[in-house]
Amino acid sequence: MKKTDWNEGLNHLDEDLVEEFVLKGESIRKKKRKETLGLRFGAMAACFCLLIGTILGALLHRDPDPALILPQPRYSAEEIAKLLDLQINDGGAANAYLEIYAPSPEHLDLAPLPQAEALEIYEFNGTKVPLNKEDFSRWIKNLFPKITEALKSDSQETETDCIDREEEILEFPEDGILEFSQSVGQYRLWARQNGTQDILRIYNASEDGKISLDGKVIQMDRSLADEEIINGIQSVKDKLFELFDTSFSDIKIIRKYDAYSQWESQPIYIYFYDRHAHPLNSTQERPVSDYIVIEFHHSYPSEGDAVSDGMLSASALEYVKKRTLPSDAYSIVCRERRISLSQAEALLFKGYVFGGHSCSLCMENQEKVSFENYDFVDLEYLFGRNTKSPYQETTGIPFYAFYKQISTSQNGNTVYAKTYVPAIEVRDCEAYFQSQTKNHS
Amino acid sequence: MALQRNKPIRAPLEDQAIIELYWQREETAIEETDLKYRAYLFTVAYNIVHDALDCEECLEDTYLGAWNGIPPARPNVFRAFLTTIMRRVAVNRYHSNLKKGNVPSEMTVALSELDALTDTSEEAAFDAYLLGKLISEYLRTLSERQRFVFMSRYYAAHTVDRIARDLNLSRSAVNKQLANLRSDLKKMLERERYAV
Repeated sequence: MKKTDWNEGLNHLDEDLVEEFVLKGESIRKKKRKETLGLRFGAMAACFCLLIGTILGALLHRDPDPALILPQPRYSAEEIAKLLDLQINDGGAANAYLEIYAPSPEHLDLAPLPQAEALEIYEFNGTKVPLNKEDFSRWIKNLFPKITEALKSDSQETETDCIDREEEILEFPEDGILEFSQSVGQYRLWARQNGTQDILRIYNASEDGKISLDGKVIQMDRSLADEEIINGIQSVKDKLFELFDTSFSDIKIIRKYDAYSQWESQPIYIYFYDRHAHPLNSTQERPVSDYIVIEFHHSYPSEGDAVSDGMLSASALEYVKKRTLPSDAYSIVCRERRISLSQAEALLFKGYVFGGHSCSLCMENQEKVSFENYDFVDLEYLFGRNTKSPYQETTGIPFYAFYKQISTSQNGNTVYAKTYVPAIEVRDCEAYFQSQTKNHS
Repeated sequence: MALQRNKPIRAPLEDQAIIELYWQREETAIEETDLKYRAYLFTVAYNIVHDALDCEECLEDTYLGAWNGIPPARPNVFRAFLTTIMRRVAVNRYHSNLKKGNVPSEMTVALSELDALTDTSEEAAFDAYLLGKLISEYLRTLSERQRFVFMSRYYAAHTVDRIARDLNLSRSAVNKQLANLRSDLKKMLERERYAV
């Protein structure tokens, strides 16, 4: 064979391999470009921070593509209520609010308010990639042995041979799902492919529910600050990247609070992800791009022991690998003109709000809350849900979220009422909410 | 199909919109492709032919290839579709230049690494399609990262430095991985009784 014949052979590689290579290269390039830009700007900022701040400020105020802004608002208030299922049995959505619990305001994780002239409306395309049993099987065969090995040191009873039997993969064509599960002692490894993502989840099915890797229990002290948690999680992070054959640049810590548990025992979720992979990664709790999440819950040392020591143990690990690019899955439909905070406040004070409740009974039982002197405001995207497939998102609309402190819960958390006003121009707002007031007298 | 040199400063179209232009036989499809992918395709070609003029000609041939290919094709990943065409065009140009003398491109260096797998003692019958399928089969046995290393070096002719930068690895780690990959590929081809 001549030397150059290799080249001819490589020209006949399977199409999907070339696609995978090109997409991977593209994501690396984007990541590097952002990192490089970050470094350059960092260095320049040391000398010209004021100048850079001004330029960035100006850029933030500028719409990147004015052509996409529609001359008239795209949605009416009624359409938004229907789109996001925020209507109350056709009775509208006014004066309703959600109850949010947090020990202090900084735990509300408020997102900064936007300065841009227009805000993006996102559409979840739901573009489904056909199931690929071969790829799924290869993914499992690549990851499961390493994971099994890491879990095995904690357990002697293992079933590792089944990963070689492709028939163990269950097919649910009607649901568009492939599934595979395996036991490793008390652990369950569960993998699923659907039209949009591959998911691999590991959990401990035994009573104590803790997860150990290489014989070490993954746990953390909930009282630590975020920075301390990030420093303490480094070795676990490296191990997970090795096991899942991937890596991410950012970490997000989500702390959950409720009205009754001891705060020390309320769960924490740590996400490893790439923040710059999609703008929604900065506003949504769950990243819309690939991620690994460790779910920490409290497990009591023994039955009946209700005293929490504040130590949380990992109860599940999950790796989600998207099958389409985030920018394709969550595409920008258009940009709508942002309304100012004072315009949003005017709507808020009139009670023209989307509260987030879809249950009329809940709403009726809510005590009236005046948002006249609200405490905090931030920006959130709310997504509609597909009626046929409730876990499928549809359209994402930006809202100002207003918080008002209303009471203290039995476990000492502050209770906030939270309600929403669209952050974009909306048609027929007055008429819609006027027609709903009779339901909220 | 003259290309627009003084391009307006504006956001490029989405891939699906460009493909739609090809389907509608709109010549602006080529302008849009050039606007969005010129720099990228130029780099793909330059790694192989190492000559700016040749790259320009390869670009023209690639756009012509896309024009002739769509329809009937409706590529899932347009960038990959263009990469495949560009690689074929550039490799043809590289082979024809090779007859005139050595080509100082990264492709030459990458190919020289694959020399170790080539048995020059006898002229074996060559089937590019079969070799392509066997290499594809081999690549499927690798992890995503290993596949990326192999494809970067031997498909796209990226330098070892660049691969190391892309994957945050050291040069020596990349060289080691490439050596292992070549050795495994050789074993696999021998096992399949493919004469190399």
